[in-house]
Amino acid sequence: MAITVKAGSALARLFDGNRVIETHGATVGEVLDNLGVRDRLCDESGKLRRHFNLHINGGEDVRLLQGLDTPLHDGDELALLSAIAGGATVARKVWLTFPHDLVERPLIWEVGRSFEVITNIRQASVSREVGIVGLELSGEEEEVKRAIDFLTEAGVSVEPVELGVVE
Amino acid sequence: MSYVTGLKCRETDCGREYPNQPIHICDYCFGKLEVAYDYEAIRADLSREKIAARAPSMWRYRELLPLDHEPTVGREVGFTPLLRARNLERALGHGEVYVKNDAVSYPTLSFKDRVVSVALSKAREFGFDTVACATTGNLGNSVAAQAVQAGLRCFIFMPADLEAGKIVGTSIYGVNVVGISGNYDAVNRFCTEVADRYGWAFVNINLRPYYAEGSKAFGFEIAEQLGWRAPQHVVAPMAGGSLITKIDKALRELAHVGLIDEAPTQVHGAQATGCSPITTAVKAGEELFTPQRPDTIARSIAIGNPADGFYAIEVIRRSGGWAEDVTDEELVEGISLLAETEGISTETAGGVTVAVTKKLIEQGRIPADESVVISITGNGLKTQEAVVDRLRERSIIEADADQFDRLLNQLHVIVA
Repeated sequence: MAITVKAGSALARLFDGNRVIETHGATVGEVLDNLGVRDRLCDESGKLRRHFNLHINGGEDVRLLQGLDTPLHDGDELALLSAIAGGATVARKVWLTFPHDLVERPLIWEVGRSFEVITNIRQASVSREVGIVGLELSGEEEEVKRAIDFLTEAGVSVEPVELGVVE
Repeated sequence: MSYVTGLKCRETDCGREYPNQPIHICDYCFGKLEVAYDYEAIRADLSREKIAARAPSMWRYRELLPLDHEPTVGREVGFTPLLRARNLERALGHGEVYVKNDAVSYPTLSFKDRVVSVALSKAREFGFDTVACATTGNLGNSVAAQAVQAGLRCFIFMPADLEAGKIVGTSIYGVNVVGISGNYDAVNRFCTEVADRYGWAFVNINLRPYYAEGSKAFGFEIAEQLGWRAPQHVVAPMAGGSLITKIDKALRELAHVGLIDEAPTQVHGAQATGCSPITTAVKAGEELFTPQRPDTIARSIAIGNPADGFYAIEVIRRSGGWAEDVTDEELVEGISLLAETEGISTETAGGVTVAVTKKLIEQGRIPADESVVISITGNGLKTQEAVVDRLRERSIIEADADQFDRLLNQLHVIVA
């Protein structure tokens, strides 16, 4: 079964710097064997180490399915991320500027649901003209970047907390 | 000895304190951090006489600048001329105009020399060996020149589409210049990520609290050069908005430590209409600004999302000042006005400041009998393209005295 593995940036070093790896396998465990990383990702008892997360097709953590025995289907995508507790994470401070038509959409909640990031609101202010939220996004670098891309695509302006630094 | 007590969040309802370190944002509320001083100790130790006995550089006010030791970079920076601009007074119909002229700042002809000398001296105190910045011109010129002189490794990041002339002013120093492709937001975000990732001294990011303090010397010098008094008005250009807040801070600090009697100065901010987030907010009575996409020839002050915009608005309002913006046409007229009256050639930002001063005088916001200092922050050599189309055409003749006679006749010059 052809499987695509996508590794978070902190884990790309396991695959010679590659972040997208085409491989095969009938279960999650077989895929890890074929990639030669089972020992790196699993502990002595054969379980996935606490600070790694594997998700199938952007869905649930394989721990909530059948662990390494979870069956895979042709064309499945397996995302391999380092969990927040595992280090190699970033904490990015940003200002979000919401346009009028987005104020009622719970976008920060959506980010928390859709991405493996911690959202931490540090400040918010609203005037007649503009609404601004100071948000810290922490998690694996690639995941934080995906969350920022999601917000940007939704129409929110995402600026580093420093604002304009090109002087 | 140092009079610095640490860093403090600038948000008045937060005010959290941090020990001295290369950080710039309050972890708690995202407010900007600012250097805090022991003003009582400074008041006891510093006097006009002590300052007067020191070399004419910005470091004569070293107690009020954020180093722990003597400066090691840019020791000669500062103490640029403050001149009474009598010809400009006549042209503006005003009674007391001064020009503080950082167009002749050493070593790179803009006020950025001040902030950079503080930032690089501080970078050395912190033990950094690599310094960097993101720039469209003036800042890069100064970081490159002073880093080379200090023997620090240096990376300068610039938008890839920057004009060749701007790149030469930095590349000449032989440092690492990296052009970044992408729109402004992407370049900007990239630079903050680089600052985060490599642990270098990014002068206007992680060293920003110290860096920004360098601007205060511009204000200290104004007061000393006026005979230890604060002017009634100061007009300054706004890019990130930091300079105007630091001029205000400098004058209030001098009053606080007893070097001047009072600091009643109204500070006025100047922007180009094509990039005017701060002036727009001030004029609309807003506390927050709305970011803009810059579209002006005044590139050196075209920051659509100014880092210190909120604080600039606050300072303008508190001091009783105002903010105005001028079109590209008006700013070019401002450049010409200063050049043709006072013999000072300034860059586009200076043209903005002169033209805004003219506007504020016409509006009555700067009354004709109240002293005003115009802050000139950069040299005209850096933006010659802005004015080249409107220069008076030169006369070309043969090397022949008769031809020159005829030319004098045409020009209606009477030779005695």
